Amino acid sequence: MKIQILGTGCAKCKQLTENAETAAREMGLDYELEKVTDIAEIVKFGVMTTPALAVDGKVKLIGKVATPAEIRALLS
Amino acid sequence: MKITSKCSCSGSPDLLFCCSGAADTAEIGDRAVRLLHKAKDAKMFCLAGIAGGVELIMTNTQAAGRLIVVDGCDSDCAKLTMEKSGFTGFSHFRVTDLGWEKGKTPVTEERITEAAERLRQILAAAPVSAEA
Repeated sequence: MKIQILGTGCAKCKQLTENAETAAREMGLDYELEKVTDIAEIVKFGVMTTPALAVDGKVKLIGKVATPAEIRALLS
Repeated sequence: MKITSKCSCSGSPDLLFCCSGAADTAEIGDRAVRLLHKAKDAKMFCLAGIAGGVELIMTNTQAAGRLIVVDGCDSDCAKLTMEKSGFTGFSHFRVTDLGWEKGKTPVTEERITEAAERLRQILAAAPVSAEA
């Protein structure tokens, strides 16, 4: 599974990254995590607000620092 | 969880949805919305995407700042579409509330400008609907 965090690298993006890693570890997933910080790349996802989270290239969350529990629901 | 440090994340855009229906008053609403979109006062977004439950459009809308929904007449198709899709925290503008009658209101630049000005007022007064 590929998890991508879309954001320019601010505190919210970092927190979302940490929470996503926590969720993936808790679920025992075999995952790859990528931080997408280039705004041109982020726009290609169709995202208008960051931070955002994509799973296997599909945007699941926009404009919110989701908790690990919320992210678990998105990963399952 | 609340993060209070200064953040470089992009702000949530204000979104405009319009019925863009067949009637003259709907056309006025549509063109007024496009005026605001082009002026970057807010972003016009696809009501059809809401009706179709298109995931990316739904998710972006959930993350939006202010939501303004425009209808050309009192059928309120755009309002009903938004509500049916679970969106309730929006401001609503009905073009016929400007005193114009559906089917008897020629589309003019003056009317489009008047509707756009009313939309700007509604936008300024609208509550922010998205979670931060």
